[in-house]
Amino acid sequence: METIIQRTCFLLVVLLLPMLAFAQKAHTGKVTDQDGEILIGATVGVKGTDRFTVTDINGKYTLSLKVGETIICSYIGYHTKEVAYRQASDLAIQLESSVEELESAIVIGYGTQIREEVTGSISEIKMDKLTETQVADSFESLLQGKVAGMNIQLNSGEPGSKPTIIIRGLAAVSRGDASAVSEPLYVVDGVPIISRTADEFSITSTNVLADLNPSDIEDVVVLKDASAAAIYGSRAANGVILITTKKGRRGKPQISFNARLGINYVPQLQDVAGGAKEREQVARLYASYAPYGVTMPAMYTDANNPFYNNSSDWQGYLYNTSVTQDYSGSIRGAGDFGQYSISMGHMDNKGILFNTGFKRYSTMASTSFNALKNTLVIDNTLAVSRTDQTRNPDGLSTNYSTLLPLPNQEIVKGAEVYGLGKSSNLNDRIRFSSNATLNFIKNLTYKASLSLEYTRSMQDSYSASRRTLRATNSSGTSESRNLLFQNTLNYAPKFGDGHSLSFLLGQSAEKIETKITSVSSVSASPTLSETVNWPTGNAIGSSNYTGSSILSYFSRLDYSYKQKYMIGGSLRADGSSKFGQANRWGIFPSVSVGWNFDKEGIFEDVEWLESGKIRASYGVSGTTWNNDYLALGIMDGGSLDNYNSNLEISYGGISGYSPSWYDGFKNENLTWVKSQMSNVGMDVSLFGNKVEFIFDAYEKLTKGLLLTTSLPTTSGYNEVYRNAANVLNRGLEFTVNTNINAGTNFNWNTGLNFALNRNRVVALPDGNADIIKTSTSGQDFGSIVRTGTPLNGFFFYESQGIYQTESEIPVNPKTGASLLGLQNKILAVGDRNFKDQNGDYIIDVDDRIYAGDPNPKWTGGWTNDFRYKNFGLNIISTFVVGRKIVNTALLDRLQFGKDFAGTGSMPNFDNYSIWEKSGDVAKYPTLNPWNDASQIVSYDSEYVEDGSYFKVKAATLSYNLNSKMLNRLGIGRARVYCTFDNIVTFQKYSGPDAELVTIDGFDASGGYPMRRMMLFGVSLGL
Amino acid sequence: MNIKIYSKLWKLIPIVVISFSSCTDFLSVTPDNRTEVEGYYTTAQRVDQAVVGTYVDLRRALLSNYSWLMYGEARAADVTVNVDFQPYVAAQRLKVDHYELKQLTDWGYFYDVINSANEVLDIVNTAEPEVLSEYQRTLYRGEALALKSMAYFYLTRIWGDIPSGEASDMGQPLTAAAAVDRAAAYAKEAKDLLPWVLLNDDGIESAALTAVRFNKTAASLLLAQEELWANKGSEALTTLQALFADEASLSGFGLSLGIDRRTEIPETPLSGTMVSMPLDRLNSLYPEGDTRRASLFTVSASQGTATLIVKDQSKLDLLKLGELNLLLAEAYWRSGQLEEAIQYLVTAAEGATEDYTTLSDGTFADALLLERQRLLVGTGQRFFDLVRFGKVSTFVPEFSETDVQNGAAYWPLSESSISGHSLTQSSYWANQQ
Repeated sequence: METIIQRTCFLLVVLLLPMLAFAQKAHTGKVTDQDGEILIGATVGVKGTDRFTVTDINGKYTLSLKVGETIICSYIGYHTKEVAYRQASDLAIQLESSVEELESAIVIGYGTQIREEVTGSISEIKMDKLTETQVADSFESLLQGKVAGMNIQLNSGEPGSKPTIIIRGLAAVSRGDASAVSEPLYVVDGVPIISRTADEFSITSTNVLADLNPSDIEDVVVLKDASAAAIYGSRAANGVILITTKKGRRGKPQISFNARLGINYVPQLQDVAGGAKEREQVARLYASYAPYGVTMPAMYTDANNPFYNNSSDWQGYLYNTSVTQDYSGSIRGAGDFGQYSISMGHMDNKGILFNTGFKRYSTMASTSFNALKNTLVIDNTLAVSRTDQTRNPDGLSTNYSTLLPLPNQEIVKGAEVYGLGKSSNLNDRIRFSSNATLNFIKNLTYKASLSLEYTRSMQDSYSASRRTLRATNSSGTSESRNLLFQNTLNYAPKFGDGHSLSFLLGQSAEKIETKITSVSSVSASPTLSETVNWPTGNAIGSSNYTGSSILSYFSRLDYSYKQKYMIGGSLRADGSSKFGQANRWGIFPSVSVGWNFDKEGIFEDVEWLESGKIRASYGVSGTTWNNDYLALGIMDGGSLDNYNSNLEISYGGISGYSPSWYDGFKNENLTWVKSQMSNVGMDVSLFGNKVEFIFDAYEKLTKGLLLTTSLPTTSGYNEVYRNAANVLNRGLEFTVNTNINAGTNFNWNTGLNFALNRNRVVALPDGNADIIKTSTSGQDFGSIVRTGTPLNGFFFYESQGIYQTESEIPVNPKTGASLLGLQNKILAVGDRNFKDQNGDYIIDVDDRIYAGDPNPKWTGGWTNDFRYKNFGLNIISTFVVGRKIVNTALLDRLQFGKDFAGTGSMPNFDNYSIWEKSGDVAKYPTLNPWNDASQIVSYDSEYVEDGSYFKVKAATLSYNLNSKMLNRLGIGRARVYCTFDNIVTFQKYSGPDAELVTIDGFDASGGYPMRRMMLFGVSLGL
Repeated sequence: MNIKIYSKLWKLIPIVVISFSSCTDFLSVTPDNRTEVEGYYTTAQRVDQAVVGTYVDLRRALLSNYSWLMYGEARAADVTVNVDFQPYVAAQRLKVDHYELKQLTDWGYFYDVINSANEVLDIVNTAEPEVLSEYQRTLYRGEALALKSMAYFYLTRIWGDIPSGEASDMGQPLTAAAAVDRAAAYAKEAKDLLPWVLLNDDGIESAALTAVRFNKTAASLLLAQEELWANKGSEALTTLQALFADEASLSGFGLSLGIDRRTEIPETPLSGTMVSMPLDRLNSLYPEGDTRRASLFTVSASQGTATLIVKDQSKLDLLKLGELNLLLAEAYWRSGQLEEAIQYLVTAAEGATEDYTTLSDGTFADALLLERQRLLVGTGQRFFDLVRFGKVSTFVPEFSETDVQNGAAYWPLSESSISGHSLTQSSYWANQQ
């Protein structure tokens, strides 16, 4: 796109014309566009001289001119025009818009393509509009609801947390870690960047991409189907997100400044039974259930106890209105020499929860130099950024008992009532890239690009115990380096009658290394030093290193005939050091066809059809995994076996070594996870581009997802990683955009997109056995991966209500024994009636069923943009329909143990339907804290809820200052705006926010709620 | 001038491209801080580590959850081990849902021994000539074979039919007889390779080292046990007689104990009052006047128990030299030479109150079984002897002869042990809860 701008706009004069010795005289003229609107700030100059000026607010200019001289006039977004000066009457200049031409090019992998010739499924989002009036920790959350088929979910309201982005359905399987996500590839200005760190090497939990200042981004292109993404080969299977940063444009220097201040309001918090209500509820539980001899703690019975009458609002104390500030400024410009762009940004987002927040400092400089008569272009980009996330070291509790005094009460003044300490999480990134582009001959371009990226995360955490005055210090650093070298050769000739060809040949080599070092210590005198030192031997330090390299060759050929028929194909070969010699290379091909049917003769007379295209594509792309050495067979002296027993490594005084593997048995056949994706789509534009309709249908089969499979014990090993599981995603995507002008003063744009995705596990290893997800420590996640069903389904006990009478509890006719509940519980009236699926009269893991699908079926967004004169109103909403979720956060609070009294806050029982006596039709069973088995079982089908929601995410009211005022202030452009963020969520869900759940559908218990924000800002352009 | 620059650039591009893309090494990443299996065993010391690792595997197989006793005396209810699952074992309730019991029904640890031993054989066979001396090469081969033999022998004695753990027929079922034959073949080869006495790092003969590693005597004892199990008396006799060669220097074999990182194997498994025998059982087994009971047990009349005396807490004896006379007696008896058999039994049973000189062919077996029970207490052989002599239903009241025929004498199999091959749970254990 840059080249088009460069070619269409000429600002400075380069050629000298013979000078004539006539006297010069000042002449006045006017510059307008094709509709007669005046153009303010257009550059007008005399060709071959250094005489030039800029049009004023009336579009007028004054220049000294001689007859025979050539006037040259340019303006952003318009074709540059040259006018020969012959006589005084000739000075009105009309420029023609070049906007159509600008918009017709779109960034694709390793190049650009004319929009009409695109045959893949590609979505583009212009970021200016979003970033000018909204503020976000990372650009990803601004993209929410913007692209059909790209589901972005904020799992937490914590500043600096990472949203989940899933393009065209989840395609990741794991046995343990319940949150395996299929992440897209991020490419900034043609360079794949580090977007995440492998768990083993990540030290901060801050979103790695939050260091990209959204205000620096010009546009984001999402490559959704295989034909568009396959050029990125082995990392493209989950989609590719191409980010183009802002560059300078010809004309006068563009200086802009944007400052905003947001007030974060605390949303609805957990419901808490306060003071007397808590006492009453505790008394109720003691009265109904406490065994003989057990009495209530004195705190609840002794009215003289100073805490007795407390009703502390802990949440209110720890959650507070906070302030977000965001400033960004930039200077950009361009000329024959090239372009420059310098920007700086600072964001300070204070969290609503005590002691939390997120700060970003970013700066970016980008320059281009033209040399050798524009045949050689050299681009340099340097981006430096730091993010700083503040957290509480041990997860600050906000649900203490309401009887405990708040820290600001007189009685406890001076004492720290909640955890001491702090946790700082710094992420730094330096990104430098340098390109040289050489235009050898017409249509042939060679580009060499070298990029070096360095990220560093540092975590320093310090937490002290009030009781023992001992403190834990830990400090860690994780560094990643990414060195990338790319060469591409592009040949794009046009020949014959409407034939155009584009051929790309490229090579890239990439090396990624990560190193982590961390130390921690426990010290008895925490106040003396916060540095980690090892005086007591009570210290642990560790370090680790990992590295991988990728070598790639790629090629693409696109052919178009009269922009009517298009056919294209790409091929990429990727080699990765992660795999064994035999399977080191992967081939990723794609083909696509397109037909612009509106250009056919029969549609020539159809006035309302502006453009219409049908496209189809098929391709293969891949993904890998984080563990670089899985195929290498890394030896380990003391791994765990399935009975959790370490190998003893000393025998008879000699150190022994029983060969075992660090990460499963080595498998030299490990190779790429391959996704086969087919896509058909249609783009139609009607009534002079007033209505645009985009439709896509796709099928994505992801094959060979990595899973451990068990080995027969006779082999001497437990498990091995294999390319074992297959997942199928099918979906439909719809986008409707309208642009309605009612007169010149009113304009209404809407963008509605929605996507259906169905996800299904096709094959699993070990004879397609179910995978019931459990962590290495045996924690059950309540999720199952089962063939024929969607991924990560709830694997729950089937509820049949609550036992109302003794006779409802089944009795085994053979033995006379009653049905035994979970955890060998003797069932009683008031307990949950779970169905004994296998009829063995014991409720256990075998009685669980597939109880719901946590994957969203429909996702989408709806944007409305109104403009009346200088006022603008923009409303962004997103929605998810057809997903099941579980309010685990609430269930956790209802699970009372024997020591429940005084340990935490309680939900107000009146708000929940809890069984008390026979005949009660209740949702929750009786709450007996003294029973050895929990009464509330999280994995109970009764608690599966509808997770659909419609969220009005942001609304912006803005006002553009009119030119009169601007002129008085000496400013080129100014806008003031007010944005409301997270306005309202319509949902059936019983919890606070149906969006803040994990991808497998559980409410991130005790999570950070999403703040509401009111943002005021002013954006200026000089 | 421009043309010159172009021509320079033209030359530069291919050089740059080739220099970056033609390096085939680019995709070979060698981890700086991790060890890859290739190229690790480059010194004798590292190969020795692997051999020692195999002993460690065997120790884990036999010591975790006191399994050597659980498979032996504890199951025969001769001794009591002070752990909560012992009563289940003594009552033959081996399929009770108990974590340690489940672990006992998993044969994985024995296959770890086989796998490690095969690794050692691979390492020794492929080691560069300068890495190992001839002595080391033969020793390590012999030790690996002996360890493998012992693992197969334990497996088949505990579970009967078992799958193969050899690369050539991995997972294929072996009948109990075939498994013993295989074990005997390995032991025979090992016996020929192993020295009488092992050398320590300084090249000096070390009795301490010999006692905790396989040596020629130990391999011979193991081979004789296996041959006797297969009822090959005369072959066992030949094996044992070779131990009387002039150059012979006999040493038993026991597992070195010492500090163990695992929680389930206490530092000294035989310490304290862990292994004991009820006093009335002791009295019936070693009647008053039997001089051996004082050397084997500490009697605590007040508690009504007798605790097993452990002479050397650093070592768990598996192949005791003291068994030699018993094995010889059995070998002579099984090869039809009753007189010699009685002679060796009498020698072995010195201190017993019984008079064994008058034994007949019919009564010899019971006497031998009794003396094995008395002398080998604590080595885990008792239940295997009952199986070998066909006396399970006689001594274990829980089992009828039909039960034994249905596989009751063997251990049930855990789920993970059953998967991956064609063997199934025996009909007796399949019907037990």
